Amino acid sequence: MSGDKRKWRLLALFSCVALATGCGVDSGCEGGGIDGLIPGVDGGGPGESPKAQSLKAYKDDINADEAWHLLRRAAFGGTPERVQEVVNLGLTQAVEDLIATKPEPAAVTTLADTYESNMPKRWLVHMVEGPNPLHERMAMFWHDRFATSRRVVSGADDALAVLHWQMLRANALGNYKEFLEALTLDPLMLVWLDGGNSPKDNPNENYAREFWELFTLGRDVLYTEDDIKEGARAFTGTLLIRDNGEPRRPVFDIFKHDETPKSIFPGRAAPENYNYETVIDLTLAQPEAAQYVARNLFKCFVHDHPTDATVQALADMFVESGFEIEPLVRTLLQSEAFFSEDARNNQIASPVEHWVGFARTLDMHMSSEDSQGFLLDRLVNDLRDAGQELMNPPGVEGWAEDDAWLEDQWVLNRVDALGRFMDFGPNRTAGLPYHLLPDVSQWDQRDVREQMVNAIADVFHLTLSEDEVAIYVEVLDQNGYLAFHLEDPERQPQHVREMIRLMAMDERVAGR
Amino acid sequence: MNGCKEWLRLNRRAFLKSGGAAVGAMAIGDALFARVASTFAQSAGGTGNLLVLCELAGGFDSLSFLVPHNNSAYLSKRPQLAMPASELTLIPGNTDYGINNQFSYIASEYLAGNVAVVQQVAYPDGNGSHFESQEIFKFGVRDLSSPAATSASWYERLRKTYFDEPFGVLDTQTIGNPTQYGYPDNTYRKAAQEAFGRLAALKTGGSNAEKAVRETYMRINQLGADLRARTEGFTSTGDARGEFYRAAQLASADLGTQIIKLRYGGFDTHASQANANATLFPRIDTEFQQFMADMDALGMRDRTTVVFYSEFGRRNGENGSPGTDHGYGGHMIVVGNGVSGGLKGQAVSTADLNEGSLPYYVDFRAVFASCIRDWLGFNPDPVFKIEGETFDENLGSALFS
Repeated sequence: MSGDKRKWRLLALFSCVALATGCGVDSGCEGGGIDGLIPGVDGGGPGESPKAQSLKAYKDDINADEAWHLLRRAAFGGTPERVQEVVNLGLTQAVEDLIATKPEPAAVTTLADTYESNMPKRWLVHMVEGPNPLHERMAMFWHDRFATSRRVVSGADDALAVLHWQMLRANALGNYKEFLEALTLDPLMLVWLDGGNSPKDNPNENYAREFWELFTLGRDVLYTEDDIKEGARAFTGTLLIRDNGEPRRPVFDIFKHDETPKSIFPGRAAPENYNYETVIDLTLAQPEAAQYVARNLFKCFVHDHPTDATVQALADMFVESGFEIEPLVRTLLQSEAFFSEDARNNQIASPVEHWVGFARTLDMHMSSEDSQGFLLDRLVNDLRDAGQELMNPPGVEGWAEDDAWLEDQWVLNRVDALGRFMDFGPNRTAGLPYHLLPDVSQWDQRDVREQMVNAIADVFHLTLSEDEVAIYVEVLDQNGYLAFHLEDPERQPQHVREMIRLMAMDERVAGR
Repeated sequence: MNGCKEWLRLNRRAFLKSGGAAVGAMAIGDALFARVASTFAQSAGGTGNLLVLCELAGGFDSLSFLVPHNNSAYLSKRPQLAMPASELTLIPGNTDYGINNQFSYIASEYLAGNVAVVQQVAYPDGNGSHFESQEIFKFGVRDLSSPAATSASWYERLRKTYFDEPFGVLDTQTIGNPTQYGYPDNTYRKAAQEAFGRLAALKTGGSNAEKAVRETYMRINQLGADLRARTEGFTSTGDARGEFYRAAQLASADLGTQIIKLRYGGFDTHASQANANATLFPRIDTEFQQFMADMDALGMRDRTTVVFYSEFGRRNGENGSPGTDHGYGGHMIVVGNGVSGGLKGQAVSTADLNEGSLPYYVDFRAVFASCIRDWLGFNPDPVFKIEGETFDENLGSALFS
């Protein structure tokens, strides 16, 4: 170090180790449980099912329904073949299989990269086509927790949204402490919550406040307004610099950092010269921090009423592991609580989860033929109108939860989204999931229509009553069966399309 | 007679909560249903009147509406934007102020005694963020940190408290074109649209989440069927098709609606404000005039009050663009045959104009509370006095005659 004391550390753009290889990103748990909405009916407490709080490992030989539950919660859903595969693997191996990072096929990466910094599109490709749905799901979970918008940047800085997303993906199942450090120095975050513009003589409190309120402790937990003022001083020194024409990059400049002692959580720690790293350490040393992660992850994957004891057991595990996220997720997905009645079909999927689950379950695919974006343009708009645009959350608190997804207009826009694949599939009119249906040449036969309905119902694991089947058949047959023939190939798939997306709106499919 | 009303009320609810068959019957436009709808509100204890909330989003420049054209502070602070008396309808007996003739209809209604201008309205400790200030007006609370208070707009709270039924509050923005509202289905005969409601109504049981989804579907289905059937016959008195047209369509459905919310944007006039206003103001004025004519044609004019409001006013001084930046206090405009017309609240003084922005003297909730109490006939306390919220209810003089 030269004698001029100028020792500033340049921080490389995080290890945005291009996840070209594969982990995905995705939404958190915007969908959430709404147990307890109707008091006295399968809410928590005395009325809850046995094992609803048990973190012990569930039996290994799960059945198809349980495999479907696992896939819906952890992987957006899955084809009948995938469900069978999970049954064959057994629970332990199936969860390991979900956690393992698999290389992403080059075709998927290439297709996703076509969309460059248009993150909603790029991300949706990875979610639908990528081999690591749990990683996508976890990245989405963190995106909802650390909600950050690409709308605050433009031009060369559009790339910051990509970096942010890669940061989420890289850390989604990794070490939480490293995650928080990467988050604090993430350039998009530094813009979004003003961390990159917080002079030490007049610090901006935005990041310090949300760091505790939304990211690590929860509203009104432990921190005070004084802590926020002191914390804002600790977070100074993080800057964004721009080299001509490049996206901005983060640095930590000790000369821009307030080097005086700060008194944070005064009842628990003596004043120190905290910086962004040591204030993260201090935060993680508080039991409330591990509890916050434990509670949120439990609520995301299991149900909305973990007891304090359940949360504490998970939090202890988290602390003992040195804040590793992966073991926590493994425990939850294999737990008796995860398979308890309280955890079944009690969540409402967010629009993105609903649509991705629809596509993955029906085995429908993006195509390079859509590189002009016929599908994705409309899809992104539909999902936005349904209440969820990835990388553009409605605010720092992330998306709606629970039954807040049930705004009438949002629900109706989901229906539009569900139809898009069938409008803009790889080959337009071939956008229906023909592989699941009886051969087209039989579609004019009267009794084949029930088969068509039941084939789609099977894929969604729906047991339909006779009355339900009859209603779906009416949709297929709205002109009378004689009209249901092959002379008008343009019209015919419309009937089938309507039947399929109507079934995908079934509460057992829109939920999980 | 009371018993009769009670019977009607119960039947209306039965209608609304039942499945597709009842909706189909209503779609024919039965006279009974219309009668039920128009009497429902009274049976619930209110007046059965209609309150229309027109949000002017972006920050409405009150000084471009009610212009203190003589005031030296105004003239010096707005060298390019100040308006001369020749462009105003002067207030009788108070000619230092005039209503911008770009609002010619509202000005004529003012002269007819049907307009109250509540001056210098806001809330304590102004917030310059559009988003947050709009939320304060929407939720009717000053403290946005309370999840309980911010889980529903104040008008939704009002509905849930006093007239908890699906058509009580309608928002033109979320409904869009009411003649096409409902499950999207482009196929012949709309078989999927019809099946959507039937499927939801068919099932019972399941988890709370599943029930909540089905209840939403049934609500959408009924709302859609009723709105489509009951608005398709609406004919307007004019050609404009803006938000006020949508409001008239919804009002024409006669579904017991007590609040219609609509929103006009474009008021965030940081630059070239005079040009922006020259387009925006006459458009709203015209569309509003058409709405009132439509309400007249529907026989509902005497039962209708419209409130114009905005999340904040704008700065007293113009910027170099020339426009005005985010301010604080602003005026609320209340229009209707039941309104006690005139200038209310605190008149804009030289001292007020010497401030950066107009201060506030009247809490916006006092205006809405008066509308709830004196126009809709409900006690506003459960709506606004929640989660420890308080506000000064003083309006100076009564809003309704």
